[in-house]
Amino acid sequence: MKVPVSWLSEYVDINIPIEELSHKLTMSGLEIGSVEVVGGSWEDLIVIGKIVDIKPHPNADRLQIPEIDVGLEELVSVVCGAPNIRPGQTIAYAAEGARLRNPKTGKVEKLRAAEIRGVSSSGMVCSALELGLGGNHEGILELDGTLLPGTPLTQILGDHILESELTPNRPDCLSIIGTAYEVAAVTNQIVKYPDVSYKEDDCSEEIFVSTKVVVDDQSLCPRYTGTLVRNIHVQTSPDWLRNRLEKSGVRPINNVVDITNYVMLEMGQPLHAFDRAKVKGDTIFVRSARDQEELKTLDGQVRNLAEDMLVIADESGPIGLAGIMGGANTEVDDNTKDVFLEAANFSAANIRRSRTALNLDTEASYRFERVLQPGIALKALKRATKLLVDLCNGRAAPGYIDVYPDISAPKPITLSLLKLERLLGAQFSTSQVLLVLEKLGFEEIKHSSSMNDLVDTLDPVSARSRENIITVTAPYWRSDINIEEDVIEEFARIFGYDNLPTKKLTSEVPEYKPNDYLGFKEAIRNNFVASGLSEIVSYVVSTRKDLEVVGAWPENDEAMKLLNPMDQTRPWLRSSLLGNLCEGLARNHRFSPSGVRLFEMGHIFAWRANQPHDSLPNETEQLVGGITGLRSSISLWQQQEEAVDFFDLKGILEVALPLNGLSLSFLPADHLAFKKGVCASISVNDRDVGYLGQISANVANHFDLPEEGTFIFQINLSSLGETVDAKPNMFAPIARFPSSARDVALLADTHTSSAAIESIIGAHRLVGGVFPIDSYIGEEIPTGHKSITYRIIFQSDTGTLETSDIDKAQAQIMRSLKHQLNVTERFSSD
Amino acid sequence: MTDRNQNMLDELKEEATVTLAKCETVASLEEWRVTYLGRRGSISSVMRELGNLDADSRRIMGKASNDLKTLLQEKYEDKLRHVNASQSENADLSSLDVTLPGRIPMRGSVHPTTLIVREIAEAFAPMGFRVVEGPEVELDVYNFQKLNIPADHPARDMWNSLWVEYPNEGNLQPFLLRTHTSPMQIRIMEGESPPIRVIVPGKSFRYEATDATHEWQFTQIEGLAVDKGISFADLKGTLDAFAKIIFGERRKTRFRCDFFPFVEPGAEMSIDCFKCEGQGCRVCSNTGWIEILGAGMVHPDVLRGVGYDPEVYSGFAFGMGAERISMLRHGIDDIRHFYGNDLRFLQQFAQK
Repeated sequence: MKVPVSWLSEYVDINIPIEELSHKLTMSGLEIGSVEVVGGSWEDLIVIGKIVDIKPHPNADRLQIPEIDVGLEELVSVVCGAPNIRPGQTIAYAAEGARLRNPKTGKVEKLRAAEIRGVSSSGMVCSALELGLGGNHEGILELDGTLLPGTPLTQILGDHILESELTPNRPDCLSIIGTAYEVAAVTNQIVKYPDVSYKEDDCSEEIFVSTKVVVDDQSLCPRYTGTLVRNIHVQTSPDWLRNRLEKSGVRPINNVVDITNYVMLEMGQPLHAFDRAKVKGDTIFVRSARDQEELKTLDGQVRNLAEDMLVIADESGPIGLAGIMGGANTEVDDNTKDVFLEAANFSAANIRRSRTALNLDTEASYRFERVLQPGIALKALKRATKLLVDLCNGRAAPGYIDVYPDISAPKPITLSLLKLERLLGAQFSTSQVLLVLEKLGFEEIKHSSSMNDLVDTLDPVSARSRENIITVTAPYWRSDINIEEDVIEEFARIFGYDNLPTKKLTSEVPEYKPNDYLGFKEAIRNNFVASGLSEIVSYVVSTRKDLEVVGAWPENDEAMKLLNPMDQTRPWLRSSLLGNLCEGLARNHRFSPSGVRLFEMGHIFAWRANQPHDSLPNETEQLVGGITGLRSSISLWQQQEEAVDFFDLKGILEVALPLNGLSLSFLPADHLAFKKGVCASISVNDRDVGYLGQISANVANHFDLPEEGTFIFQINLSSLGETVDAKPNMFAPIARFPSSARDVALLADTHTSSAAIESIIGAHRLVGGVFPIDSYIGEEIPTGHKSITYRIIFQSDTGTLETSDIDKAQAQIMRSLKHQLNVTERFSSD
Repeated sequence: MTDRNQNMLDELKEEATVTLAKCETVASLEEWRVTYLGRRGSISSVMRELGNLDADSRRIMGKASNDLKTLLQEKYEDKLRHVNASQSENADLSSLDVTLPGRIPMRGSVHPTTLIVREIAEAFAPMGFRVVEGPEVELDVYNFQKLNIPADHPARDMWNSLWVEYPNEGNLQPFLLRTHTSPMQIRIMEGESPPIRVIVPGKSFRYEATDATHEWQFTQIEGLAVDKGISFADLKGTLDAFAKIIFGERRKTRFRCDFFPFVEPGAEMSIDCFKCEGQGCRVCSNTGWIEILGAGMVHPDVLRGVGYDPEVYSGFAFGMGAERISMLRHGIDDIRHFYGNDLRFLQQFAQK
């Protein structure tokens, strides 16, 4: 809210510099986002002047030469084109060098002396627009005639406008007076409340004769007040009023509308003025809209009303959207004579729902939906009535309407000083607390019953405990104070959070609960980074096509869609991270001269079958990674370009997955995201956890990636996390006797997997290790076969192995291989 | 006569020792050897002159000359070994260009968000806060209602939400992308009893236009401590300690009143600007202070909602944007870099 300090200081003395005031307000919870300085550029070059005489311009009919008293010994004369200058006027005079707004360009420029049609002119008489005060440029700004010539204009019209950024709990500060109460509290001042008394016109008939108000549902409209002001004269508001509205960002319209806006800004209570002549009948209804009802609102739009929207209606239908905007059918216009003024209190939730449904956010709805106190309505009604009487020559009909069946008396709140101490960590006395609360407008309810006093004297314990209890009522304009803790915050924020003690957390430390899964994920991150992969983090949304291409489109309507996505092309919550991964690979591939290696961990989403509305959908974590491009970039040490292959990524998985001794195995598999034949399933301890392979042609095309040389994997991280435990690795004794290695070339069917061969060799009791060292298909190898050479490490834990022992073991292994896999020794003698 | 000879020997010894010390190459050593120890060298010429002396003097001076020769020979050999040794080292070095690049093992990078989350978690760990995570799709009940933000409450405007389409008769959508990790406060308190100290990092989402300082997807770090006797002083002390760990021992913190429906009293913490030491600069928008996080004492309605008696238990909660902290730490100018997945950005932040 824009709060002009000139207006604010009408209700509270401002005895500290504005900068300090904004700081104090901000620290106590009323954040001042910025301070606009009105007239900051005027310096002392713009002063009050009095037009003494006006001479005609010798060469131009439309120009005149006023002679102006600017407080100096000699009069100054300037050339002026404004139509409204007259001798005797008090005006703003700008001397040469003054900075003024150029009405044509809107820019602030320095005033230079000039010769206008043969007459030199060094200064000028200013319009409001040129001074940066808004308004029009039709003529010069006329000022109060009592002002002394030569007085700097900043002293008269200079101002500061505080721009407060309010939290939703403080609708009271959406007003000048509400802000004044805050200023008073932080600067030890007292608020001067404006006069709300007005003179009723004894000659008129009472309001009740012609006007009744019927409220259907009191829960939607707890209070409705109204006055009737007759014989008003609708015209432009006085300058001071227009000026205040403009400084607060509200456009002046006419005196009646301006007064309702003025009081709303002043007191925070929205009001509405109906042209009484246009209201049909003598009853105003506050009711819910009927089916098919519509209303043309003041902005000229026809609104289709829903049955849960609250309207103000006469006997013919709606005349206003309660708490949001009036109807065009009862709008105040230049011919309006009698005005029915409304100040009501409406249900915050209802207003919020209606304005959301109608997409109609107004100053009024903004205040109502933040919960206003019914107590403000009548004060604001009287204040506005007074202004209608004073400024529009209106005659107020005796009496006012106040439909307020359930008067909400201020609720007493009991504050225990022990509770305050427990919450703030410091002790305060009753008087300390009361002093602060009273500054904010709280009132203490004193226990004065003599019976209680008697009891107290008899029972010292209860007397002492009562000393620590304060009972207060919250200020009637505050809707955010309902419980003890609210009062404690009020005390704390004015006392100053920075003045409260600071201490180390000394309460009991919770039992330590290790989170193995988080540790597991951190190990994965570290291991993948050490293997050359960089972590990416992507948006959780995707296109349907992206999900389909990587074979992750959920079946059975399990896909989850956003109702209001940020990007209309990406409304789907991702069911796979592969799409984001491929995008990342492609994006970086474009500028990376060598290779790109990425991984990501993130949540994937799917509805459960018959998803209940009150339990969470399926959300699991996935790990994906991929590599593309070169194995390592060309350098002194790497002379040849080598593209990455399947086994680069497989190797990374083998070292980077922190499996804590569990066995990792790969089997040929099929998956839409991967190229046929270059895809493996990944399992850990025989539990399938994911896939690894080369990207399919589809994926390559869709994400603009090279099909050859791009390899990716996906792993169900949640499932893997459940499989891996945090048990420590167990020690295995180190071999005491030397081992012997033998290289054995085998001849196998091309479909026989190395894993199968290794497992047979490794099963022999004297084999300590086995791994392939060469693989060959070609000349000398029968068609349909391959040659693989294994290095077998023979090892015994009971002694050094003799050649004969090893020969024997090798023969046994070969028999098993022949028998189980039809694998033979390539250079066999037999 | 002997004295004069003795003096001559002493001078010779002195001169030879000094010149030997200056020899740093094999060639200069050879020159020295010839000068002093050679057949026509100084020692030999002294010895040749011994013939002119009487028997006693000859015996004395002969021994002295011989001793000197032995001594110089030893010194020479020592020095030769030394020079040889250092010259061979020099020879190896001069053929190795140590300025050539090392063989760099392939190394990736941890995402800067992960880094800052780790740092923040490490700052709170010694104070007994453990890390928990939670679901990214939340129920309205947990994201709002149990946090004291009822439907139709204007405070909801503080968290513009991305709702998940769910077949529903009413107006209220039950599912949304969580707007903060605060719902985990509720899930933790519902599942455990005090004392509780947790921090909850995680992706959060707001329906907001993106710019250099706003992303619709970001990482929030929520914290919660609940037990008997926890006060606002504890809140201040804990968060002040945190700020000093992350931003440096000299940082000052400042607390002002702020509003979040699930805390009362509510606060916001700023630190004095580390860039300009509070003088005012671009980083702190010339205020000298930088807003870091929101916090407050857990609202009694929130405690009651999870079955804790607010007359017995109290606690504080806080929340901050991880990317914002990272941007301040590393001088990153645009939050959108965090989700650009561009290696040129990602690899700038060395792993801790």
